[in-house]
Amino acid sequence: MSLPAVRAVIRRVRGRVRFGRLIAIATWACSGGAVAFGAAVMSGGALDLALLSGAVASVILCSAAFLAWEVARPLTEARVARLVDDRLGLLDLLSTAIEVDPRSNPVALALTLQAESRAPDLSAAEVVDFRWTKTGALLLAATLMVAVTAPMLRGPFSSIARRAPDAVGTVTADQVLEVASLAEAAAEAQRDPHLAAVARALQELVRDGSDGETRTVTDTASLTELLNTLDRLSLPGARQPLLAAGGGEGESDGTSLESALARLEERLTRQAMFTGLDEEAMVFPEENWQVFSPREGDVAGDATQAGTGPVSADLSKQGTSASVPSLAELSPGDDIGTAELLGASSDSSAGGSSLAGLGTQDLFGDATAEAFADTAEAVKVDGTESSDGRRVTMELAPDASGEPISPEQLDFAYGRPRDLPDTAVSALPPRFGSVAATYFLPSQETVRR
Amino acid sequence: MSAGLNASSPSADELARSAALEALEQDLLLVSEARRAVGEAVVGQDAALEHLLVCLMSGGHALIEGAPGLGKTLLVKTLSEVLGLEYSRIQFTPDLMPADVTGTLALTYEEGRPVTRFQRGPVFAQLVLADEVNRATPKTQAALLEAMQERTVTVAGQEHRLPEPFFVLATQNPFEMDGTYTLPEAQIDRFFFKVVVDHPSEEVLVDILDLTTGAGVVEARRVMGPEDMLRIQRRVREVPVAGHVKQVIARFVRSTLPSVPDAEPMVKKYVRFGVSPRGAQALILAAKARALLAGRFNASLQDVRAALVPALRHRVQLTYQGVAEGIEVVDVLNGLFEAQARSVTA
Repeated sequence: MSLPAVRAVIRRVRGRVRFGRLIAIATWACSGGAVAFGAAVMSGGALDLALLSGAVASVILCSAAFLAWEVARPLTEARVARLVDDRLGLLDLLSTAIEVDPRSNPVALALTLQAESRAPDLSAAEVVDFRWTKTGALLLAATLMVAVTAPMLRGPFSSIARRAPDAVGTVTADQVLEVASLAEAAAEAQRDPHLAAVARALQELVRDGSDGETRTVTDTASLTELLNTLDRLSLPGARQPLLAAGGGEGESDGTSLESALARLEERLTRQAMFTGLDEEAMVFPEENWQVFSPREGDVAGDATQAGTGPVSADLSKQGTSASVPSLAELSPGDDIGTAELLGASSDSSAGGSSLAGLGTQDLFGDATAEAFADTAEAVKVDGTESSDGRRVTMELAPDASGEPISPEQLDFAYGRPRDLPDTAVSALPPRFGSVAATYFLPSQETVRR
Repeated sequence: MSAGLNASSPSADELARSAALEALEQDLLLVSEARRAVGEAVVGQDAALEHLLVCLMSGGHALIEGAPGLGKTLLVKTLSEVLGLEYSRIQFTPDLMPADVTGTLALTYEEGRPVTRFQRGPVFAQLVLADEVNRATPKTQAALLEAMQERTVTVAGQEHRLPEPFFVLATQNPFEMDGTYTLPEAQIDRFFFKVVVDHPSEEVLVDILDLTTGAGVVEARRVMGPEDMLRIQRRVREVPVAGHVKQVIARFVRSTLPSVPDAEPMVKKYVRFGVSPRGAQALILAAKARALLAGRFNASLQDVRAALVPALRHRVQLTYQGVAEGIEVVDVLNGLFEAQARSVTA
């Protein structure tokens, strides 16, 4: 006999037991997730990342515990039947009935009939009733408390981190003063009153916001703000702040206060050199500006090289970079909807310098789209400075091409920029050359300033 | 139960099933009626009565222990009357000889010629009350216990079968131990149950006084016969037992053995002899009989629990240290059993 009613009860109870297990595990898993969330938040992580880590921790804990429970204590028919018997006081009626062969003797037959007749009246809810346990309630309360209080504790904990000697002890007043004097020199060279103001602010900060004994700057919040301002003034363009709020590691590239000072020091030193006293020496002939076409899919590496720095141009068809053909695959007369120039100034060791990829427009913060008559409909400067220079995207008018692109003209090799032959900007078709010159050649005006 | 089997045109199989179920129902009614009938004649011995009925339904012998005057003899005699069993009583004394129990060859004359004929002893009955069995010498005890085990008596090389069903209900007095011969472990293990008859409560005692000192006399009425009892004994063996119940029993029996390597320290310290496989058999059979007595068709852990003490209390021996420290066999049994029940059913 298949005992359909008995097995139906067992199935219902098994489902409830599984659900109950899941609830119990989820309660604990949520607590684990809340701990992960709290730890992530209080250690200064972003709120969305902390939430994500909490959720992932909960899901992983929940799945692992559920699987472990199912493996360690599988819900076999016999086990569930015993559970029903125990909870409902059936004196092993179901657990025996599912084991016997009713044809073996009249007692076994009577047993199975009795089990079948009682089964429809058995309630799975009575066997497994869901009710709040003290532990569950406490866990949930703790979870909620962590979820609510962790973001509030973020501020104080971050302040503690800011005030910690390890975080600011390496930034001495002398280091800051050095940067301030360089900023002052750069401001004078560039005739930039904003830079001068920041330099003065840094000097005042050292005077008022540093520890007299250890000669360390204690007001890291103000220092961070000033250094970020200095960063923006010395290197215009849309990008993430040099330092994260709070003076700790930068969110984007992990910059510490000390390394930020070093970077600013290098950049300001170069800017201080542009005094305009030696104008002729700073003007580079056009022939020194080079253009590359990296092969499709290549990752441009460190383009640092001695001597003249390269200007590279990646001229590709409209679409994503993964699908664009290289210039070598173009035929004369091919129309290109979108082109991308990858370049670096030759007055720097390309890529590694803070001036890499800075053209006239970029240096003066004009990074927005701009129309070039007879050349391109719009040009947009990618604000992100990468190690191989800076990208300039051109949206080309279909009929803007003065002449078709000839592969002979653009006889580029493939590989990393340092291995590529240089190509003069003047060798490029005018529609690319004009944009490349605009963005990658320092204008006479810039040099004179 | 049988109602569910009624159909418009029942097949032969269904008719057979229906008849079998009806017969089963009749047997359950008989058992229930017998219990009620004994209970009407003997007041205040419900627990002992249940144990004795379980014992008889399982086909086992019982050792009844209790102070004099508690109604042990009355209970046994009433049982024999209700169950329709041939009753015999042997009063055990130190000078009782084995032949006084089993019977002997007697010289008689038939047609003028002397012949030896086997004269049956009092053991040739269906329900034998061996009163104060510990007062007889070991030799006489052994004769009785051999008859209990083999259900035969051998005299002068001739084997004589005892009637069926055959039950020995032996009594012993826990007091007055002087001049008694304690039953050895091997022989006491042959008793299916050891039933301890306790003093009745105040209310029960009042009922006993009312019943036994009034003008009316309650006569025990016969409810069944020996054939019924034999059939019920076969029914008992048909009662199914769930796998986990058998597992609990097996683990429990192993846990009482001090000789096994993983025995608990308490068992090693206080238990001299654990439960034998015969004890485990008794436990299962008793659980089955108890289930049927209660009108159920399966032996549960609760039935095993109820049969635990009467079936095993005389099979477990404590060490001298255990006795000296006042350890009770009942507590040891219950503790070990519950531990195993939890481990299997959790």
